[in-house]
Amino acid sequence: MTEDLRALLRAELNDERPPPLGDVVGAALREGRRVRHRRRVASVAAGSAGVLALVLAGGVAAHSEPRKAVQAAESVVTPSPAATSEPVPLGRAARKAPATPGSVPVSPTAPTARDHGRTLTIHSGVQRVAGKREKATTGAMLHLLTQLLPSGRTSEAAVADTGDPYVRIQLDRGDGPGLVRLILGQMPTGKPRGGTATVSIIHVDDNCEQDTVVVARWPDGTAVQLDVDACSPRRSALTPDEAARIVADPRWGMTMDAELVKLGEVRYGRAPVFVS
Amino acid sequence: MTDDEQFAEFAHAHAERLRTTAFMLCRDWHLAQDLTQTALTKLYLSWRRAAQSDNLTAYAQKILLRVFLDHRRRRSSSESTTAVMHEPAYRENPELRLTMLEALARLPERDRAIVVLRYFEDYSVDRVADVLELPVSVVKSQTRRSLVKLRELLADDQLALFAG
Repeated sequence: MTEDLRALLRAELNDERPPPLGDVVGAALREGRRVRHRRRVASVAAGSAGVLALVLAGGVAAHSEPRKAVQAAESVVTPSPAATSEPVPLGRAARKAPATPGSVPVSPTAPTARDHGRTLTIHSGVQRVAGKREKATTGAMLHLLTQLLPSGRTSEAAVADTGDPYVRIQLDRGDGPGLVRLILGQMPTGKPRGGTATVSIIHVDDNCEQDTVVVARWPDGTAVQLDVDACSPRRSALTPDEAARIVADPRWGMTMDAELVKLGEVRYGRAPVFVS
Repeated sequence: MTDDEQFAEFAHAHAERLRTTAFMLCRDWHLAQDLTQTALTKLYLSWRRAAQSDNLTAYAQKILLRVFLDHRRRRSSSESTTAVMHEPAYRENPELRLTMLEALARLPERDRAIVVLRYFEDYSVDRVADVLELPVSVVKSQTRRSLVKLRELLADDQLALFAG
């Protein structure tokens, strides 16, 4: 019966004269990119508002009650790779850093339960980065990002088509690739850079590409945002604490060390472009 | 190969088939085209998750079915029904034979989707239940009812198909 029914349906379909399929795939791609872009803009706007709210809330709280100093455990800290402006690893920085009101503890491991967000204060130990500076490039961003990522296989490094300081890369730590995206920005405040970053960790529901958004802000208005996706069943490529450590690295900025820029150009100067 | 390239490759390979399924559901090639495009857009937006699924084709079909049912739901909520149901011409004139596609179009949307998936896409009952998010028992009972309904609608010479 099934075969007869199917044969009858097929026979009738064969008598149909369907119009040409046209560029249905291209239209779907264009519409999909447009929707994705719109969502991303909305998400970033919401994230920025959330970060601002968290920063403001943190500032208010800092003045309302004393807090514990940063106590980053050595186990979560990987010493930064060699670079001209040698940063102080978080562990060492934590030991050296005096107890500062407004600081909150850095948990040594990823939280077991999903929280909605945290704000950390991370001391880099570097007040002013030495050496020649040049305008940050996407190549330098990718180069530094790959140095800061935990060990694993990186692939599909790409830069945004908009020309903004926005890059992405896949990191595979043995259980499948996961996407991380990094965006640099600055809203000048007129203040010096300073050696302390306020890092906000936000979890975005219903947006697997920005499952975890970690933003570091310095007193001079520099912001470094890292998006960690969770679009596949395996674990995310980075834990929130690992992402926090990456964005809090003092080498990030709208200007970066000249040597990093040079090496980044050599290594990622021709990275493919992705549509953002 | 980038995600976009993988998506485009899959979409080019399956768009025609998806449109055919959509046509069997709605019996309008232009609407079928729109449904297919909408389904592919949704697939693109969830591509990273979709690509992890065991059966990407079934995943795409599932999206298409949802798009179709949502479209019908939206349309029916904005349409007013006519008071008089006109008796089909074929009842007055047996010479006018109802085709299978026409008979299919007379089934409720969900039942139509069940028949198309079961007898055109050759899905198992379990898979139809999964795609349409229905209990298996409902798929079985609705399949039986739909076949009875089709039997009533189709001409005698086609009834032999349902004898088995």
